[in-house]
Amino acid sequence: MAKNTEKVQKSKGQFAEAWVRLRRNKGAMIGLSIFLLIVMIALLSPVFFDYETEVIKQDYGSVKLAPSSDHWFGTDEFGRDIFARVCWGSRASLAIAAIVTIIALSIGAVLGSLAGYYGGKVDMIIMRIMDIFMAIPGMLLAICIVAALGTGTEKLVIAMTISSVPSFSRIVRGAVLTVRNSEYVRAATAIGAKDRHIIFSHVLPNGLAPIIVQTTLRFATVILSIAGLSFIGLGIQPPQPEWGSMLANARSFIRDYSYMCAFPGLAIMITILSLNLLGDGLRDALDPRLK
Amino acid sequence: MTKKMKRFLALSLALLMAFAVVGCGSTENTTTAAPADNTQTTAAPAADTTTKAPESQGTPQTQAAGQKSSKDTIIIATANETPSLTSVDHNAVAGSYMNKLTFSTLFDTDMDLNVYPSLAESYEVSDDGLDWTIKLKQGVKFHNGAEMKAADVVRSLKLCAESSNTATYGTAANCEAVDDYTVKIHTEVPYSGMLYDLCHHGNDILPADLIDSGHNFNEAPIGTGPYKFVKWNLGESLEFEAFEDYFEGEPPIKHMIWKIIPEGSSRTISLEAGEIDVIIEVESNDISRLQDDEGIDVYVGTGTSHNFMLCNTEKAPFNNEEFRIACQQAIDKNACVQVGQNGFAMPCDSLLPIVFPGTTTDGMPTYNPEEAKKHLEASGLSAAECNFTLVCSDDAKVRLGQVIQSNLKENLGIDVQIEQQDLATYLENSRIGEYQAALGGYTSSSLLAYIKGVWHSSNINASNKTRTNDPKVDAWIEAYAASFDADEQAKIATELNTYLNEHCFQIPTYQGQVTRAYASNLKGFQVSASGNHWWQYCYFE
Amino acid sequence: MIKFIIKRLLALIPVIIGVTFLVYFIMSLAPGDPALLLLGEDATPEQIADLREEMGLDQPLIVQYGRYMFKLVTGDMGTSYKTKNAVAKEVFSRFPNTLILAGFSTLVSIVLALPLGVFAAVKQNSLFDTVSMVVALLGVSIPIFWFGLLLILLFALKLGWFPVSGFDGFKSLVLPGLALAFQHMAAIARTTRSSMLETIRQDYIRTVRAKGLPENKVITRHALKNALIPTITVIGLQIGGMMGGSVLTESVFAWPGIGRLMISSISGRDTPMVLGCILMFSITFSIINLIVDIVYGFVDPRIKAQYK
Repeated sequence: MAKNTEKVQKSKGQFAEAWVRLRRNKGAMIGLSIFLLIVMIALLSPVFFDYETEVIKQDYGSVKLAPSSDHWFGTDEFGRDIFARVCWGSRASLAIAAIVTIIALSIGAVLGSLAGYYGGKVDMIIMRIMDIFMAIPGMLLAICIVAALGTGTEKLVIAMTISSVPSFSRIVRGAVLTVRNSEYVRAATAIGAKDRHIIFSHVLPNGLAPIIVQTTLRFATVILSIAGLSFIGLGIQPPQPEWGSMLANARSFIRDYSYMCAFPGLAIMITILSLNLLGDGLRDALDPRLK
Repeated sequence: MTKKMKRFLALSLALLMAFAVVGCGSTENTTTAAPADNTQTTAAPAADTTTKAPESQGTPQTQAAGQKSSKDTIIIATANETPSLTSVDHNAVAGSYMNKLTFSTLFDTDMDLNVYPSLAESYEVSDDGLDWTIKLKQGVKFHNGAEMKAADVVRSLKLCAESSNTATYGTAANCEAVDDYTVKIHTEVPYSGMLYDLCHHGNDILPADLIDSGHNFNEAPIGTGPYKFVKWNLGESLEFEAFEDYFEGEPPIKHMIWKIIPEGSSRTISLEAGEIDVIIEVESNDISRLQDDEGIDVYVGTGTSHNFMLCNTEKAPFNNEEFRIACQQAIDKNACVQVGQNGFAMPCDSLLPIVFPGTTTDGMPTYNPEEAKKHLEASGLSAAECNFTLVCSDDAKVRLGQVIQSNLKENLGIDVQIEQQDLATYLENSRIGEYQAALGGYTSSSLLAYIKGVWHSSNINASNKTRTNDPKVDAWIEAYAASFDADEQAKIATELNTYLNEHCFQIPTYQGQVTRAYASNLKGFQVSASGNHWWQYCYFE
Repeated sequence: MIKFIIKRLLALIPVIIGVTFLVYFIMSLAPGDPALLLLGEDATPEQIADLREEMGLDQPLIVQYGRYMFKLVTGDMGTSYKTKNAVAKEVFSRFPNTLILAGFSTLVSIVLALPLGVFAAVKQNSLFDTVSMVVALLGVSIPIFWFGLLLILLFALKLGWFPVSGFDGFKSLVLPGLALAFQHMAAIARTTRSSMLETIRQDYIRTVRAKGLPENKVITRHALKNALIPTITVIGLQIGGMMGGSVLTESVFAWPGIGRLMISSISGRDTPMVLGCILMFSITFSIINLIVDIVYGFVDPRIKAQYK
């Protein structure tokens, strides 16, 4: 037990160190700040804009207005303020991405740990199944699921989760494998600790680095996929604002009202960019060998 | 135009006057005609219309026959791919364009939507209106070299009635060959819509021996049309070549390619860049831009296309009349036209296309959100029972759908779910009644075809998509069909229209316009209010 | 080596069986009675019952899957609900278009990314390095469909250099090809740079350098081959992304490939067609992964040794 607390402290120290390294990484800090800003926008949108009257209400007197002081990003073909819609659009993307990442990470962690820790047949069966899932490109798997189940937010979550689980379980399994044979795990096994205890107290915390990086990148992938699915009409349905479906709408007007296409696209790109910067920084900070 | 042809046309116009099936001469190039005005001016007696129609306008200009074309390939862009090349296997506009190339019908409709003979030479109808005797042109060749004879016509007219997609136009199925060039059609009751039905692609004339041998017309559509089918690159394009033995003379333009370009602005740009020569469906956003282009001509004219929110009156909540009226009064038609069609259409508050004589907006409740709320209350439906799914099958329909979604939410608190389906699926699902509401339209060249197709109970599971089954409506339609008198027909149309409006079986949105854009050096290009083209007369200058 | 290839080929079989089963299972959740959809509303109940029996719809799912697979081996992918044509015919008529697009993009992205990544690593922290890595970062962050729209706006609408959409010779391939290639080029360049950096710092490179070999020879002869291993992995991974991306690209540029066919079949509830398209994508993906594996074997002697 003494060894255990020592280990925790050690890993705390390890993360504190990583945090210091992360703070020194300019790119990562920019990414983190942008991302937090986007999260703030998502959380505060309902304070600034009323959904019923400012986000989805159509105003035929002010359609397709160019950006101005009244409408920062202009208005769309229904006379809705694009700025309000872009801000509200972040809510759907972030919320779904968060839910999907949490669920997929949990399922992936369980499957990956089981496979990595027990090895043998368990490993073989789990990983072969995951291989099959991974043999279908993620976006196509999501499209396939939405095609079968129909459109809707819950179905989108299911589709994205299923296509995210395999990569998580693979990463977790890899992490578990590297940690499993380490001395402190052997020690814990020797003193008769339970498997579950060993997995959650020793194996996972020590294999965390690649998992954190993967989570960040997955978050970005999910946001991109939601936008992509909505763009082809399989994601979030109107009138709820979502960046991808806003782009799909704006596409008809790209020639004369190209600003309508500009802002939702920029919003997606900045969000993904911030997550990529953060992910790169995290990888460097958590795994100093790579630098 | 040959002298013989002219003489014949004069004769047929006279005949038409006598039977006056329908009269409508509103094809002026205008984008601003107000709907009410239009109804008034076109409600003139049919006889009047036929006489005043100048030949140059009323009948397709055929000067191009024998013209040399400076370019021998024409590329036409269309948004929709035909479901089939077999004439009787679909009832889609996209398919009728293709059928028009490879097949011909006995009759056709001209620029004024009047009937003129195509494969027919002349016709007679008995005094009781029950027997039609049709003389065929001689020496007309099929693409396989065989000559078209009465047996082919008889077999084709029967085929139309046998096929579920076109059965409604199979009114000439009770027919027989008198000799090689004469066909006799008998009907049980007088039917004034006979010639119009014979114009429909379902009555395209195919070789009888090929029909009987189970020939696959979808793979090799062999007919008497001006163009022969070359190949179909699925999802991409269809290619045709001029038929040298076409009975009106070989078309001046030798090769024809129809490109499937679903994206509206892509079609516009391709035309501007000179990659294509004609756009069938002009993106309404781009009309004014194309009008400004010197090398491009834009045609904007009144169309017979009548557009509406289809309601399945057999399914909740649209089985509730008060609910339908509430929807009608809660939807701002001007907004529909502005947003959905960028202003290039006419708001419509009538359940029949307002371009035909006798049609009216009487009886139709108009936009009034306050009244709408009362009707919703009177419907006795709870808020949750009112929510419905609206099927939209293209970008413009999705835009229009969002206007309706917003109007109903704002004025009545109803949640509308928009569902995107592709055209063919929407057509099929709405045909069999597997839907609550959908955005749709109906284009026809005669009012009879419209009322029969859209409202007669015999067309449930076909084009009667509201599934209206009302003996009174059927009786009016049958009376209209049996009448050979224009004034009487107009009177019946008014009564029927008012009744339909009062019960608001579906929600009209707008009356469409016919728009086409084409390269200025393309001459002889014509399109009628019902969307009829005459490609065989086109040539490049 | 041949043994290795055969082994990998054999390993492909269970994966393809698994993939087809997975996709078949998912698509079987789609609502609607296939027999009814094929026959249409006019069909009599007897006709429907007959077809159901003929199609084996009354059998358990696994049996239906077996029948599907049995037919699939003979090249029969079923009948489209919508066009009533054979799915195989529709899919195969469009598949080459998708291959052309994906192949062109792969080629472009590799040809551009490798020199970019290598050069950036060699000139680490130079202006070139910074600029190309910022571009690469933007590249991996930009949504493919938005980038496609931007390309259309600039090169087709404003400048008029290329067609907006469609399928008409090389000119129409350029914009969709670039749209699809950019993201992958960025990802490959980033990986190449970092693995190159790592390799350059290895002891044996230092030794070679110390021996006085010219720098460009050090890079091309010694460093590159080792640095390429992670790059190949990324290329393999990227091809999966490219399959998903080609669906979006085909939809933006109206490219007549199986991606667009799949999307229109989804809105058309044409389950056999969707199934056919996804299977086509997945099988292609598996085969490409196999090729990547084999190339891998050539580059990395350790892997070859394992399979001897």
